Amino acid sequence: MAGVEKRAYRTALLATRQRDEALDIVQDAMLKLVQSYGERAATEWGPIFHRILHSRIHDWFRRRKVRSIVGRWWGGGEDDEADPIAELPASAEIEPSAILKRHDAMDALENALKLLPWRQQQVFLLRVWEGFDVAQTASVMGCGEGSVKTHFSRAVHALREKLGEHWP
Amino acid sequence: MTQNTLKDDEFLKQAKRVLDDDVATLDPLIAQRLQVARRQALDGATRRHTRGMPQWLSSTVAASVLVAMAWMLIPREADLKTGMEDLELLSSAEDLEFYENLEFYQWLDAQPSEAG
Repeated sequence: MAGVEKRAYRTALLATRQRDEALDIVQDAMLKLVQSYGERAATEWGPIFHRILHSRIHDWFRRRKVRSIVGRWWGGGEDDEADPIAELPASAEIEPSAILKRHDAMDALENALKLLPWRQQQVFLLRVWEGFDVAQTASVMGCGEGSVKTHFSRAVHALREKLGEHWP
Repeated sequence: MTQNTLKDDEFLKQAKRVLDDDVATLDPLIAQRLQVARRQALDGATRRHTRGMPQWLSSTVAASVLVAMAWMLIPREADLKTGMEDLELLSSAEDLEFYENLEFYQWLDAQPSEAG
């Protein structure tokens, strides 16, 4: 689990764009893995962990959606509409040293990934970063293999278009 | 393999490398928090195992404690006897001096009576 947690955090951060939310999601997923699947062989932990992680991220999106709808019902009005600027990480969360250190290539990739729909983002990270094959990815995402192939193809196409020929 | 596929493969390798580099230079504070979270998850599992394993043992201990308490709290026959003796002593109209010399009288009573 030690090698996976940082990638899991980065995955959750890409989805939520909020550091604390991402940390909570990863912690929750680790707890669930150990509590419910601790008896399984360590080799099985990777796909199981990602299934839990992606399920937690999915739940997070759903909760946010519900909150947004409820907020509108209870008189929040337009202020509660999802605001892309408001969803960006708070300035306090961006440390100047981290910005300086961060490589331009990662910035560009991160920005391009953020523009993808969540399912495409998810499939790209699972296939490319975690090295899961189509079947494993389908199992983690809870969808068919055909759907994985479609999402992946679209993700790669969109990213290449966005990043251009000379990236990184 | 087409030119486009080759480009895709190269692109995917680059993407993986960039992502790996990013994680390798993750904010130390975040890395530490993740490490703590992992340790807590593993500790929680250990505690759960420790707690769950000896259920039969905790039941036995609980039963033993109940028996011990009952043994201590329920008055035994000897205690009852002593209590009654104390009560008799306290409610008696005899002179206190008589009781102070009781041992002597008991000894005297035990002596064989002299003929005559």
